[in-house]
Amino acid sequence: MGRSVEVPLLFLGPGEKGIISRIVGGFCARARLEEMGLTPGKEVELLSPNPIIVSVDGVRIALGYGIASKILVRTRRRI
Amino acid sequence: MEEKGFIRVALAGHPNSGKTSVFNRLTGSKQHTGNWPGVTVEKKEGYFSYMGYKVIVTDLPGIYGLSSAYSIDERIAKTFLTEENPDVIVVVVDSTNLDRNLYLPIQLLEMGFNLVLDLNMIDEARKFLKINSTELSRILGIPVVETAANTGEGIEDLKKKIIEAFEKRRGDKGLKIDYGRLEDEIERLWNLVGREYPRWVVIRALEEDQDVLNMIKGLENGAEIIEEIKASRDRITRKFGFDPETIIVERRFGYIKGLVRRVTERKGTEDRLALSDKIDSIVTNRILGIPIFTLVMFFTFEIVFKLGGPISELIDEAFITLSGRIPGEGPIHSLLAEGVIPGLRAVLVFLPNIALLFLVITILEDSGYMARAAFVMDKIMHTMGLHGKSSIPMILGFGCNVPAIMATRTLESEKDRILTIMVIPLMSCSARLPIYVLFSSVFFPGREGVVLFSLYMLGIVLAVVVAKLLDTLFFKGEVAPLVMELPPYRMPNLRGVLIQTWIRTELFLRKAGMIIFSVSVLVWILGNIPFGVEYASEDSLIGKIGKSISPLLEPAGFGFWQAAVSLLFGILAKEVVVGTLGTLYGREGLREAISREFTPLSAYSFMIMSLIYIPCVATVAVIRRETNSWRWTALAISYSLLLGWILSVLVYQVGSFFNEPIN
Repeated sequence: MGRSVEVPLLFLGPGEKGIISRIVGGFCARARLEEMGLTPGKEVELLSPNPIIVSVDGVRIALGYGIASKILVRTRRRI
Repeated sequence: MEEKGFIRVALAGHPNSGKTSVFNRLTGSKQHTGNWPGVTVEKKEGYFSYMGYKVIVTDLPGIYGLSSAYSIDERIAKTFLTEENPDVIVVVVDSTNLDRNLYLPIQLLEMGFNLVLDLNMIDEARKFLKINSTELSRILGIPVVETAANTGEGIEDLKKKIIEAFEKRRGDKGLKIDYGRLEDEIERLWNLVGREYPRWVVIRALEEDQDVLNMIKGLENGAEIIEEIKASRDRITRKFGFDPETIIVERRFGYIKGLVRRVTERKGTEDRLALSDKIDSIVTNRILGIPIFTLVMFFTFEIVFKLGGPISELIDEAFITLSGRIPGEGPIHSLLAEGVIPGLRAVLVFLPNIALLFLVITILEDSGYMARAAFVMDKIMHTMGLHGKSSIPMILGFGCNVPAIMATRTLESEKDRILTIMVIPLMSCSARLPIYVLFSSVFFPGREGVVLFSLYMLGIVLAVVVAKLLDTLFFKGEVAPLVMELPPYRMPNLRGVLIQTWIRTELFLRKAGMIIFSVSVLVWILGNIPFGVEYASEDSLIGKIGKSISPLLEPAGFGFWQAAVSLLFGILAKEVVVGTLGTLYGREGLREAISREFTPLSAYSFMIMSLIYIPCVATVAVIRRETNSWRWTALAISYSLLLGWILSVLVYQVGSFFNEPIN
């Protein structure tokens, strides 16, 4: 099955899923992200890597690169 | 029926919950729009009468919750809810996604607001979900209604439930959510703040709600409590690895998850998402995204201007015939034929374009494409400090600045909206085209295309520079990070689209129309003073003004009064520039006259001036109306005048310097 690793959401491959582990940096958009359901513990699936579209709770959310690099997710990777 | 009184209702919900449709269904055309105090965000209010009450509905901006202080929309909504204290809040949610949509109502319920929950888009949800709304209503202790605003289903029921919620006002105890491992800290802080305050005050304080913290600061031993709250926050963060906000949000979502599991039953799968994702893989594709966007804009243009153009011309001709048929003579006749009717004409010729534009925009919004367009264009627009959504109004500006500025209403952030409005006049609208065509055909025969292209490009380059400059000057370059929900594609509902189009168009007629009309009449007066003078001739007041400002235009190469007067009239509407020159040079023939008065160089500098200087009256009127500020309006007028003058002088002077040896 591979090992669980923590990577920025940005680094997920298309169709890859991960569990949000934390959102780093005290930046102002965090409250907005959390209200939109991007909270630790939620499963996200990367639908499109460029531009970034993720699926959370069956909803599609478009993210800028800056913000996608600050959302850390746990995913299983074969190393 | 005698009125029992007023009920003040606020409508809240996610940006994609169909809130606007619910609002339109509730109030019909009995609504008016303005701006929220001090900001450029649209505020809509309307009313309906029901069971003897007059119910006044305020549509709040689309929000996800009340915690994000950086979002102006959430600040507005929160201020309205806490300070205006509406009798009932209707929260409109997208029933196809309760897991996410219930966050806002739960947060509001915790704060003890009197809620009605509107499960909207119920028709779509029914396809794969069974929702037990009676059970949901029992658990939350509030009225729950199922609606499909697109078809109008359930709207009567919603009205009934609003009255019910008003009459049987719930106590303001608030919903209690178990915050698990935070409970000890919550209890401790609650005792410090005082049990007479509701529990949510403590929770909001832990979430660092600035308003609540300020309130606590004002308490007797406020400073100490604030210190305690800080210590508590630190302890929680150390102990659990997450700060309290994150834990609180997580617990709320956890509560919602349990709740949804209790009241819903899934049947089958959702296939609309699969289709929606397929469309997205093409529409937002890295390579295809921008070409598709360009194509959509092209068709928008074709519809708005090609379809609207002939109708505008018909209206125009009708007015010309009308003014020719006015009997009699003397001042009254002149006021009607040269003041009032051209004034009305200036307003109404825009009508077909504007109505069609709003129609297309509404369809783009309702279908879900608008969100994708914004997303696709975001990177390019970011270089200008703007949001992706700004691209649509800016491109529309090439057709006509007036509807383009109206189209900025789709932008949520005040900064994006103001910056976009300020640079739209630099997009060379179709009314400026006659000027370019006349001058370039006289002075640059065979190279008209190049000249035209250079002018359009100049406008775009200037827009980039001006946007960047205003951004750093007034907004300190803050760019909101891109986080945007992409709603599933939907077939727009005809009735809903038409209502929305009519509401937006009517607003233009009422508000911008007044200003355009008044200025037209004013110009007529200036052209007729002193009495007995030939209209807009050298001796009229406007002619004299033209004469007095013409020396200022000398360095730009066109320092004669006819040019000055035509530019002055151009403020009325840019297409008037050519017409005015025609009147002033009269019998001599326009092409001969300008080829005598201008050189190729001064002709080019005149075109630059026409491109940039003061937007036309109609544009100024909508700028004023949309920014809700005379200061931004004054800035738009002054920067464009200054920039136009500087550039045309620069072009003329530099050009003359290089030309001289040849002459």
